[in-house]
Amino acid sequence: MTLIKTRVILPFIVLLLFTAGAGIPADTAGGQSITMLAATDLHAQEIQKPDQTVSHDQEKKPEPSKTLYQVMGVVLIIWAGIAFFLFRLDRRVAKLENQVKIK
Amino acid sequence: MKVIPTALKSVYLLVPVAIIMAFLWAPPAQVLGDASRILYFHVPLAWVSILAFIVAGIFSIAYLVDKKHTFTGLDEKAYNSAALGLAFTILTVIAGSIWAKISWGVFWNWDPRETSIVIILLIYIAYFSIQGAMASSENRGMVGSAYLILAMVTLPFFAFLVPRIYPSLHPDPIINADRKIFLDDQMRSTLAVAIVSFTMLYCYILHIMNRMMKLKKHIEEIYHDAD
Repeated sequence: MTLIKTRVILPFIVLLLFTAGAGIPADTAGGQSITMLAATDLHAQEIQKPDQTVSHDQEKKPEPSKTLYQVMGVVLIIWAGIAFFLFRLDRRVAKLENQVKIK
Repeated sequence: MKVIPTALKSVYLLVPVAIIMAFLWAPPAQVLGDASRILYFHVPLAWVSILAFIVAGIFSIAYLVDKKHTFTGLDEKAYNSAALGLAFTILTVIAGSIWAKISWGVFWNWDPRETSIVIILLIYIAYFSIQGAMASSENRGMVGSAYLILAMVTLPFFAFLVPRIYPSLHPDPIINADRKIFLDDQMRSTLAVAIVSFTMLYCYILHIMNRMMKLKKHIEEIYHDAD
């Protein structure tokens, strides 16, 4: 019975947690305000290619902000939880499979 | 035979790599800035949900074609894949709503793509209702499979056609009508890694679910024989 419940609930729990973490918007729009985007394609979001005349020092990307690391940390922690859950479930199923075969 | 399950375990490495690439390696987009990084979760989730529904449809076709039941549990595998598809679709909607709030200012505005995803959700929720109502029926597998095939046929209309026919605020699909990818190389490779890792995650969870289904049947048979 527990096995059936786990089977039904598994995808929802695992993935809901994952998106909950991934969906946390980093409130750091690269120093610029977030504007209403009514663009119809990603062209508007295309990265500005560095000017060819710019020196190598100026071409360096800006350092990611602290918030970005925090959000990534949260997402990685959530993933660690999901991975642990999946790993444990996988092992339990493997164990049960072996037991059933033995009997 | 053990090669595929072992390969699926690469998900433990691939997903963290995709997360780190999405947050640290890929550059922020010009207008949305760092908020655009949700692209690396929203698009793979959407891709996997469509894939899961297609796989469910293929299992259903196989179930109906295989009248001698050479392969066992095809209908249940289709059910599992549809369940995963539904979960991934809900997550796509959640991720999309967050993105919409950031870029459009509202979580939901009944954009054609949002409307079509709601219809897809309703179609698959109806499938689970039917399956629940027919829990003890012998025709459960047959009816469910036929329904999943019909649902799969409607997918291209709702997922690809409707948002293109009606004007939409939603960005064009990554590979759009011009057959061009409007992403720079780092963004493109991050997206590719994210799509591969989410696909592996789907395959891995489906694999576990199918094993649990087999195990359940086997244990039920043992109890049945004991009676």
